[in-house]
Amino acid sequence: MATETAPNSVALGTYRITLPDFTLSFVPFALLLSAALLAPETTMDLGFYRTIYTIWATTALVTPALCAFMLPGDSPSKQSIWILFWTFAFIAYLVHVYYAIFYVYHGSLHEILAGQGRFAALNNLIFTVWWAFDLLLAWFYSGPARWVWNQRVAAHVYIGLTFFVSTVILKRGFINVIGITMTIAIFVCLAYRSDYARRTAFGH
Amino acid sequence: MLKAIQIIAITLAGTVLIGTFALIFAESRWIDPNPSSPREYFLHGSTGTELMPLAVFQVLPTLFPEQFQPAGNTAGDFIDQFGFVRGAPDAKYGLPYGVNVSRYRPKSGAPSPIPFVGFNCAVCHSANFERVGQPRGTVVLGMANPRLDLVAFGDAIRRSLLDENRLTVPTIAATYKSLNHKSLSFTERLTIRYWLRGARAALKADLPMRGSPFSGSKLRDSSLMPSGPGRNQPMMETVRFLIHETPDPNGGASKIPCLYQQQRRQRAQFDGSVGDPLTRNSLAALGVGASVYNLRVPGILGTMQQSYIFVKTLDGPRYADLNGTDAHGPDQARVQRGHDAYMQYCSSCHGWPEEQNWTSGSRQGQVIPASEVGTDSARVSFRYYADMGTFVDAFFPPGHPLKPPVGDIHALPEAERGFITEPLEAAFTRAPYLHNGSVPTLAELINLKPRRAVFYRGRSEFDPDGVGIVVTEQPDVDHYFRYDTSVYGNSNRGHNYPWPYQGTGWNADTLTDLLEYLKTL
Repeated sequence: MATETAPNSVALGTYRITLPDFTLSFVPFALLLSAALLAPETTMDLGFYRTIYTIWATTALVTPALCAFMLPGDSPSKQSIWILFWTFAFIAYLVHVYYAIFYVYHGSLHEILAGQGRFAALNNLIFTVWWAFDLLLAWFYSGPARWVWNQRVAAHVYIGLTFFVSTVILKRGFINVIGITMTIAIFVCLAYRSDYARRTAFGH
Repeated sequence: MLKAIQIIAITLAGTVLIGTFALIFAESRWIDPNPSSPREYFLHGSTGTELMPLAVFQVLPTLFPEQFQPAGNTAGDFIDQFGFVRGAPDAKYGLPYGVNVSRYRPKSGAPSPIPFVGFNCAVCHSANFERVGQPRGTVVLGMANPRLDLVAFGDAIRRSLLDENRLTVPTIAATYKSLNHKSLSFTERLTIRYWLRGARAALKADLPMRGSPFSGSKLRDSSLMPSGPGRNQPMMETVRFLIHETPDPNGGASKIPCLYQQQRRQRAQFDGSVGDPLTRNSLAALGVGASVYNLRVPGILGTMQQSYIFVKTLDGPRYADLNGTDAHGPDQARVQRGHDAYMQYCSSCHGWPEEQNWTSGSRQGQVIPASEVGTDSARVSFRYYADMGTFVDAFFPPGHPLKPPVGDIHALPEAERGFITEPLEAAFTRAPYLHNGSVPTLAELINLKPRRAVFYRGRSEFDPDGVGIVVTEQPDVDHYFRYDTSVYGNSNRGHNYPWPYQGTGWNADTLTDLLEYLKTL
């Protein structure tokens, strides 16, 4: 396997997380997750609404991670912001998965397959496993392997597209606001990256 | 300075998060401990029918006297006027039998920080056996409450909840304070606010299917509220929660059955359509407000299971237990002769008692076609009768603990549909008779006396002469419900055993003997 250093890559596994980085990511994570778990107290169905609100929180938290990943440069601060939001979004997502499996689908594989359909259930499984795998690599693998970078790019495309499809196309309601905001933010970051690459190519 | 602010922000956010998880952990402790025995489950367990916060239930009769005292404030409180069985005033908030208090949120069964009230098995299946002049009576568990007008009570509740001007958090809080001399807590106010918003929205969403609830004196008008005391419209409600449609024809009203010795019943429901007793229990709970989601919550599922265990071996009362040895007690000479008549004319379908056991008759547990027994067939000819098994199967998701076994709910061919023959333990407490409660006394059921075409029902004191319940020819404050046997589903025809009234073979003396014997079952 080729192990050359990936161009423009972040330095894998070497994060210099500063207090401002941690504050910037942890505070919204803690507050959003708390809100997602507490807001259902105003409803008659805690499990169902915790499932919904935690995916809202996850979408909000994953947006900075996706943006940070797409923005140009490899400053330590950018890397820290990316890994922290990528991690906190995943934790919020795990809470969502917990409530979905054990409260909406009552821990029953039958109900999951009946409720989601085989394709969606399989997609969700791949989504979860891949995200977890990438996080493990991000935190615990610091080598320069190019495949790690490639899979990370693919993971971000796949996870980002899945969020887009589920929050903008498949679902209706307030989730669309969060999904569209995420989509706009990503496009802005992509545009900036494109512009940055163009300017760099012309030597500005 | 900036560093300090960041540390404070992290600390505060972390504290909020830890506090949130601590609250979630604490939620599991809001649920009260499970009842200690099958009897306690039957009396106090939750069947998932949580209606409203306890505080709201306590103030509704005061806020809406026209709904909860439709006969006026001199005719007793809502317990009297809707026929509940009064509980002890100093226990369980003074609520009637079967109005249970739980910490489950409606429909989901999620833990609630404040108590909710709901109906459990005991609300319909416990009764106050009253004799004329002895209104305190004796509470009999498992006996169908012939006086309970639960459908009308449901309309009274719906009507009140839909009143957005008179039922608000401030009016609830003020009334609660005036009744209990204490204020609602912040948590109670908050929960009531959110519950009320959701409950009202759900009621409004149901209006196209159910129509507007009736109100005030109309709750006692049999032309508008055709169920009346001791009955409900089970098939209509079942179709409604299964497929969100009101069937037409709707199957009419059926009486609430007694639940003695359920182990002797091979199949449930008057038409024998349901095999698994837990399916029967769950369908009953769903009809009163449970959901497919909360029925799997352990404490609620436990009530389904344990309540069945309680009624599985529950003995009905003996005649002397409730009536003493009065002048109407069984005449032993007639009892012996009546036994012979029973064995000749009744035992093949209903079996007979032998010491502590019940011996099955040759046709006991069979569905006798309505065309043969001749009783009202509305119950077995409603729209979707043949589809009920499919509907129930689709309603319960795969893996649901109460999902009926395949084929458990059967729909017989039209010509074979009818009513299942069952044992007659404590027959004197099963009035009114036939599945639709169209025959007030055993004397009329066995055609010793002619069956009444129109009568008024309500308070259901024991009628020791006819052996059944007292009904009247004219309405009064206690007997308000006009039972007209010409109305759809109300016919009192059929079951002409041993003989039609004054028909061929009719013998008043033999029937009098039989009536005496029936008192001893």
